[in-house]
Amino acid sequence: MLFNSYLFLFAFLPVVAAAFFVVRHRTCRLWLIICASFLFYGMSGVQHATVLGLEVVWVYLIARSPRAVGDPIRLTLSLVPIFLALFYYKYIGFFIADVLMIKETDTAEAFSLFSDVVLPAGISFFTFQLAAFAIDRYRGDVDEPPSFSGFAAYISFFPQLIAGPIVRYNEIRDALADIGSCSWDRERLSRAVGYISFGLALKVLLADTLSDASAHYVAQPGELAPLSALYLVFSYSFQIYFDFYGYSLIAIGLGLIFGFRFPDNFMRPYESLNIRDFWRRWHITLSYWIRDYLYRPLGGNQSYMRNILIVFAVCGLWHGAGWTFIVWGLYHGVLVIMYHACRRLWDRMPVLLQQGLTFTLVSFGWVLFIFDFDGTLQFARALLGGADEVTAPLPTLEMWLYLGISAAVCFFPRLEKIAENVSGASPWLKTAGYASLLVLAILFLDRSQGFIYFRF
Amino acid sequence: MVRIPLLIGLVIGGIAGLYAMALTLPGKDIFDTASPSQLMDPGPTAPSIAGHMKLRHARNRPAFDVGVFGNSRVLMLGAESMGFKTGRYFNFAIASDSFYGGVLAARTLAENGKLPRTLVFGLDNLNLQRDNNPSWPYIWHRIQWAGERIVDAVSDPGVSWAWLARRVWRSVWSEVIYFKQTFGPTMVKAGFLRLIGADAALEGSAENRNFRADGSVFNPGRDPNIGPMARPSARMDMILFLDELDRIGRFKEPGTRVFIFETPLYPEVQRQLETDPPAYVNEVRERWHEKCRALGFACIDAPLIEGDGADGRWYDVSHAPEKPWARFIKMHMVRAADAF
Repeated sequence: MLFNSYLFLFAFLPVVAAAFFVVRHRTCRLWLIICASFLFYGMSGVQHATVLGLEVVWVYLIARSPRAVGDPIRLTLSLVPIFLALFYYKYIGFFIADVLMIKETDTAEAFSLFSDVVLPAGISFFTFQLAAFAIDRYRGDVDEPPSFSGFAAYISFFPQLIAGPIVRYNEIRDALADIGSCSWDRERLSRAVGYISFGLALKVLLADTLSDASAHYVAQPGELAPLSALYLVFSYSFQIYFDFYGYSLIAIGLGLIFGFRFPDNFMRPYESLNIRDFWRRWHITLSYWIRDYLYRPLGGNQSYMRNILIVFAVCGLWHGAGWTFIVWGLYHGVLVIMYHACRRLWDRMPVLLQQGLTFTLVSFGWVLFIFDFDGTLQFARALLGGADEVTAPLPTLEMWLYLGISAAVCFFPRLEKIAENVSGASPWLKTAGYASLLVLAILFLDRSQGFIYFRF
Repeated sequence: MVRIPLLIGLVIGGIAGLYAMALTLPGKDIFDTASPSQLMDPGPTAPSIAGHMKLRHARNRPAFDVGVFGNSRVLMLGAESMGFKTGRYFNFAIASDSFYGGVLAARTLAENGKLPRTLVFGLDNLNLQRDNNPSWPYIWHRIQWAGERIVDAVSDPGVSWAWLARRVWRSVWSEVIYFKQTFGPTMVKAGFLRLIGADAALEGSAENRNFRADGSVFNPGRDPNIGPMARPSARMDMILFLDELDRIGRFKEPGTRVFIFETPLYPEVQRQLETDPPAYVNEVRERWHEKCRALGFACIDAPLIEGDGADGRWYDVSHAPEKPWARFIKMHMVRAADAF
């Protein structure tokens, strides 16, 4: 089920929220969340919901024991099955075809292993969340394990199940403990409405519009004029930002309805001063996960270059099973190392230039998210004016208008305040503003597409 | 702080306002054209808009002699191919509509004193077992009529609660589908232009499926390239279907002639499905004819219509070429005339 669907907005959410406020008992509320979340997830496939359920039970059984603290065997036992499942569902096709280079004509049996595998939505997100819990237990950071219902609700909670934010148990432990006393708080719900309406508008009105406008460019990367190719670079850059930022805002808003305050996932990433700064502002919960559970265990700043390349390659691989994603990760890794090497020079540049360069470098990196290698090469040739034949029309005035509006929204100085509903505007104005955003978003809902990060 | 009740009210009001805008009828009656053969393109319109445009046209003039009701499977039947004069014949069919919808259209005409003397209903081929809710009347009419049906059913001891629950759910779900079909930027924009009178009904072209003055839609035909078809798993709701036939019997005026034609399928497919039809298809057909005999309706099974280059081609597996399909209907109307 998608957040940007009639079924979710007009049936699932109102029913679940109403039931939540009717039921007062803590355990009942947790089980309500669990049932609703599995229904939400199970609508895309019962098999996937079963995988999620089994992983939740498995990790809980292993990690809840007091002996899990400091026991590497239990940690391994927790992690191996969930990462094997992630490997099977997400990477086995890539591994067989692109790493082992086995062709279907050579070994049909090997191909049959993955030819029918459908990637469960958000498996990378909930695997990382389960792993974080198991590791935190091992490290003793989670001193007292939750009840099973608390744990299952934490992992499967539908607002963040499919595309994050990747929430640590300690971040929502108190909310889980107090869920029974979560009441109809107008202030909290008011903020939730702000997040949801703003997030939905970013996704439906901006991200999907940009996607529609440039779809014909994506379909013919080798037949673009340089200007069209450049348009696609920046158009996709805004599209992926509004898509994921919009999703994250909706997730935060939904969490607030049920009394959970999820961590922020974005902090004006396209205003970053350098690439390292970018990773502190983009998909923050993933960056911190990688920092805490991979980069530091690898030795952190000791062997800096090696570790940076490893974590960024893993970051790329996390995003998708393909060499393009690994190359995208390494591209960012190399940029971080380059920044590290010439930091003094870079930091002396005017702030606007730093921001502009960072934004441009990041935007060009997204090309690897759009195309495979062949497509990327064709696109690069087109960008440099080397297209054999330019058949795609140049961007229209309307398309430039979409890009201009996107840029204005992206760099608008008070964007977060509007999203967080803490601007100084009058309540009536805010109410009318959010209502307008919601009505407009709902009007365009039917042509809305799935979230890009659902694929990851 | 946001005023939540106000916000909910504004959102509901905003959606309702835009939805109403999308349902605005064009100011001009596109069926009131000077030339009967002229094709008219009303722009983006939901099937319900087309339905209301047709009813408005009928309300503003004397009752037609012949009215055709149903969906796209009879929508192509024009006055010329049926052998009637444009002013005396009108096609009230609506794309995607159901038999129930056709009955409701006829009932609305009866309520306005404009019921044609001859009613021709298209009944989707029984091998398809299609059984949808109507798509054209306004939502309050649909709710009113669904309510009437439920009230009728409650007083019928033969109707189960499970059946009732299914009907209620089906009505609710249908409303969601209609809403999704109509509520979108294109429809709202078209509705807004109609509202401010800035719409312009365009002259249609023979390449597209545009309206004729007699309410039918010109069907250009195409090479359908149709292969064998799997039998649909759907089942018609017998209670509802027989109830609809009774309703026609109740609102029709004395002397009104009622024809119900089962729509044909592409000949190879029809032969394939008719080779060994399952018991439920035979049962519906049997009960249908039984009820028609009791009510005095002429009910005719689907013909085999081949179609060729000269006679027009099939559009797809269930949309027959106009001319031979019209000839078949006209032949039965003439043949049955003496029986009435």
